[in-house]
Amino acid sequence: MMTIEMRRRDAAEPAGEDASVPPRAGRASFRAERDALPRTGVDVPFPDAVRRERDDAEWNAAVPAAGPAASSPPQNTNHAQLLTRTQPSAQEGPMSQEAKISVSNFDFYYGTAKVLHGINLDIPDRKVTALIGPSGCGKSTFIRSINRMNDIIPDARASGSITIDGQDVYGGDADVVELRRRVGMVFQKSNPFPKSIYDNVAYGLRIGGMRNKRQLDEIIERSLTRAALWHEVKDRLHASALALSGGQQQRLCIARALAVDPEIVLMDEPASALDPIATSKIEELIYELKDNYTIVIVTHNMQQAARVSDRTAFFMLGRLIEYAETNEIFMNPKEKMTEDYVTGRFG
Amino acid sequence: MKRSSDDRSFRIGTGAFAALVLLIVLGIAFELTRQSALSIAKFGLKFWTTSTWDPVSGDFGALPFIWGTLYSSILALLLATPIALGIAIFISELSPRVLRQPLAYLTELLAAIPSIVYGLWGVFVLVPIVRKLELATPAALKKIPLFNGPPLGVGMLAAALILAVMVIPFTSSVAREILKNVPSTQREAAYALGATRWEAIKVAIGFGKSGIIGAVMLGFGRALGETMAVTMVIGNSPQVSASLFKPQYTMAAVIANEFTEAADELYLHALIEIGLLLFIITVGVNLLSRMLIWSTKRRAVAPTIVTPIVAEEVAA
Ligand SMILES: Nc1ncnc2c1ncn2[C@@H]1O[C@H](COP(=O)(O)OP(=O)(O)OP(=O)(O)O)[C@@H](O)[C@H]1O
Ligand SMILES: [Mg+2]
Repeated sequence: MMTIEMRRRDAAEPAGEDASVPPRAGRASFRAERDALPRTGVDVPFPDAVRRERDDAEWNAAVPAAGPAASSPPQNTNHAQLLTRTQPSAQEGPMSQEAKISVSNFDFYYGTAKVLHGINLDIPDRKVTALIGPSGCGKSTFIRSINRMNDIIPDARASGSITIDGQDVYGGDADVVELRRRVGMVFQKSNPFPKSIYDNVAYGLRIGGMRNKRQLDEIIERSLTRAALWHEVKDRLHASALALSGGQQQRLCIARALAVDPEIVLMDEPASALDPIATSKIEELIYELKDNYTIVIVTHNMQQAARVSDRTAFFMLGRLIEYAETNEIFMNPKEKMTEDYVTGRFG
Repeated sequence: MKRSSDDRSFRIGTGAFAALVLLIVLGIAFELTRQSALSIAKFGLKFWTTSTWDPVSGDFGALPFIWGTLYSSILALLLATPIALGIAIFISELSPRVLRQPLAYLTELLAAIPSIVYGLWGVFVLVPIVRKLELATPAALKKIPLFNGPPLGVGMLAAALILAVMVIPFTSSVAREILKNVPSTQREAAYALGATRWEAIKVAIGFGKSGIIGAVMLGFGRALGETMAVTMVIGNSPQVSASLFKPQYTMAAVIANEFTEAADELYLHALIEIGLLLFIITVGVNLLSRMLIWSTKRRAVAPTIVTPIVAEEVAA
């Protein structure tokens, strides 16, 4: 127990309190509870429209993971332990924790089409926040608004505010380049540059002006280690990044994002193009990273959201329907729509 | 049964056309070689390296023409490449979207102007300007071999300039196409790491690098074979000189000018051998540039393919 507590960097909460509060249900027991739920939704056939919106492969990949905890790989227990921590308690509400990102009355338009409607939510520091919702509901648009990636799209327009540590991201004096260095991003499709593994990770550092070879070497090793890729590539750092497997390329992109030392990492379906093994590697990684980074992840995979996130926000048709502790969203959703979505029923 | 036989005849039909193209190329090479047999037999490799061009005594060496062609084309390449790439980058990355299409059409229109028209423009506009420039060159500069020569207006500089103007639309439209094909995920990756606009453009250029080199080479191939406009402004005097001001000669120009006068057979064969050399050089340059362009296009899809997880990754 002690060692687990040491890994946490959340200095805001005194350690003593941790011990006194009963541990929250870990991943394994959470699963068991979830499996014990009446499975009404599962047997109901999906309406065609909804079925199509989901990637069948993703569902198939997700199904075995939903089985009994005993069949899961051993690292799961670690995760369960990592999950053990102060009960942030639902009654405190999402706003009570220290918010890293604070979104208020945020609207977003592509030309004249309004795709986000008055979004309000606070994303806590050093936690994983999952964004879920049907395809086209604006998850990507929202996550890309946080680091202003949508600026590249012509005719796109935002109103309302997003603040990071109290600073307005869309304010007149905001520096987009600086913002994007603070807020890293990992994309759905891995997108390494056609350069060596080393140069990929070094890219962000070099454009930031770092030339010192020793320093570069050091940060590159650290970033690749954090992205759980170092051991696989340490002997071929100068080989092309394109020769890596899909899962390795995605971890390389994570390493590349981590190298510039962001405070926040945004991930838009980072594992959707990967097989279950590569996916579980990425999930493990997210677990490791949340000690040091605030993570926002978009996923279509309910199991994944349940496994990796502390908070979950459910979007539909450009609106934030419900935002709460992940447990709450999956076990005790307040909104009917949320319940229908997370149980696989829909509409 | 029926469908598979359709498939086969389709394959055979298209295959036949492809074979025909190859056959034509080989046929040209064969015919050029056959028709220049006398010259090949008499001069051998010396044809490439000697400078005499004397139809009266029947002594032929192609060096001044090879030199003139390569020198004018390389100069044109040096002048045209930065401008063409600038245009390509401006159109594909910087210009307002409404201007993109019109600008692209305009550059392609430049490529459609017949070379005789460029030639006329060269004679009446470019050559007088070049002459003024030559007259204005200070005597001290004239001592340098590069600027040494009579102020005629016609000569290497005029040829290189007109070639550059003709090559720019080619290179820029191919380069623009290459930049357009760079997946937007590459630029996004750069932006997400805090790249400025210029840095993101550099990433796109880096991604399309070999294709852009191919575009430049394609322009080079075009410059090598250009005949009419160059013939009208280069001065048509066979000499190997580094001077920009001296009149020189190119392979294409000598064939065009002297083909009808070539009375005896050796003379004719010598001219055709020049054609063979030009053919070899341009085919080589074109093949190289196509291969470079093709390799970027292929790479544009390669990174998105998800390969199965290798065993070591599972074990790790
Ligand atoms: N570049 C764009 N221009 C115009 N409309 C867009 C653009 N990108 C997205 N949209 C629209 O905005 C809405 C939200 O799209 P978004 O990509 O944010 O959805 P999403 O929740 O990420 O969906 P998915 O789960 O399929 O990735 C959709 O209706 C989409 O058609
Ligand atoms: Mg999306």
